[in-house]
Amino acid sequence: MSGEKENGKNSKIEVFPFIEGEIIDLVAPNSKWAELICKWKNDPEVRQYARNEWPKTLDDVKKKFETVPDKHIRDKVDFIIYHKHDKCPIGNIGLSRIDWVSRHANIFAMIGEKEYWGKGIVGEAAQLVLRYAFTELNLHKVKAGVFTPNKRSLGAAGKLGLNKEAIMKEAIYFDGEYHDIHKWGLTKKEWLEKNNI
Amino acid sequence: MTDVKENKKDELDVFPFITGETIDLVAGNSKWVPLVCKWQNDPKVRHYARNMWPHTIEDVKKWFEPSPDRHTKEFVVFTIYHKGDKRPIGSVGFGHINWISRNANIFATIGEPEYWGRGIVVEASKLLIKYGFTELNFHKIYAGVYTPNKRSLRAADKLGFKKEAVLKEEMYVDGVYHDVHKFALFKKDWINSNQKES
Repeated sequence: MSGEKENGKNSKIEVFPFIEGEIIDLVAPNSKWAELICKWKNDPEVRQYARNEWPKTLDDVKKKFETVPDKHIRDKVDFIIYHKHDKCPIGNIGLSRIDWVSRHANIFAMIGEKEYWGKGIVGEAAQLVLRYAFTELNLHKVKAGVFTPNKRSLGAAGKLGLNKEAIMKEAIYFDGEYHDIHKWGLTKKEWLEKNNI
Repeated sequence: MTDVKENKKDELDVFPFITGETIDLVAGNSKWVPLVCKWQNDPKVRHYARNMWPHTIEDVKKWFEPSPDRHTKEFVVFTIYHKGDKRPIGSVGFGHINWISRNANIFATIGEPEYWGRGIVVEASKLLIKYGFTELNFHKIYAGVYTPNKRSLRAADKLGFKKEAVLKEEMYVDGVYHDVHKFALFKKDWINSNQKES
């Protein structure tokens, strides 16, 4: 059905796609989405899997948009996941802890709008980020950490073709209990093979 | 007596990073600012190092300020320290480091002209090149030398660099345009030639 989701601001915000997909695009973050991002970061259901234990104020979120003098090279890349048909931002995804000498990075993703969970969106977005990591940033390996209760992310990591590398026992405290973290990884060579390139 | 003590004192705050035979590559020390300033301005040295601007002590001091980036820098510089004579004699390093394409420009200057022609740039560069390939994980190291600088042209050759290009009339020196010769060294070629040596 639809056209633009009723989130009035969105119709006036200019959206700059950086990597295009089918259902979603990865777009440059926009400070006008600060309230939305703040909502996601604090939302109890979203934050429990995104592992945010601290309340975030709007100022906290806005601060991230302050332009950093262009460092020679970045150690983190963050995209907003933008739903093409519904014309709204629904989450974010990116690479963090980029180590340029050893050429690896951690992939992270979060869908802030819960109605988009379970629709394969993280899968599509992550495929785009993997391609960007290997063919544009020339990284050697992409890694991910998922904790056991997060079944969706465990499933996504498997579907993406990441290899399970290690289990860190009782490495994370969540909901009153310690849980294991599963560490996944994928090298460029493995990614090329899986994609028949 | 006092001399020996002074020398020992000097050695205490010299921090070798990569050790060689005649020279070590050491971390910069802000107490060498006046020396580096002298090198930057010395007409004989700056002629080949291509420095056209007078440098003040303040200009040079800035280079010794602690850098903010944890480890991903755009350039890395070492002071060349003469082991026998216990003194800094020049600098060597990588500039224009491109971490995505994994390449960098190598540069070297011997600031004390009495050390020219003794194979020091070759020794220092060999140490630096090994560091570039095996520690910084570079794919390619390149250098630019302009024609009158015969010593550097010979050094590039000795180090195994291959000429990639000649940029015609690229550099204006002393009233005349000169060509710049671009050289390149690839990791795999460096590995091969090292294996041949051993």
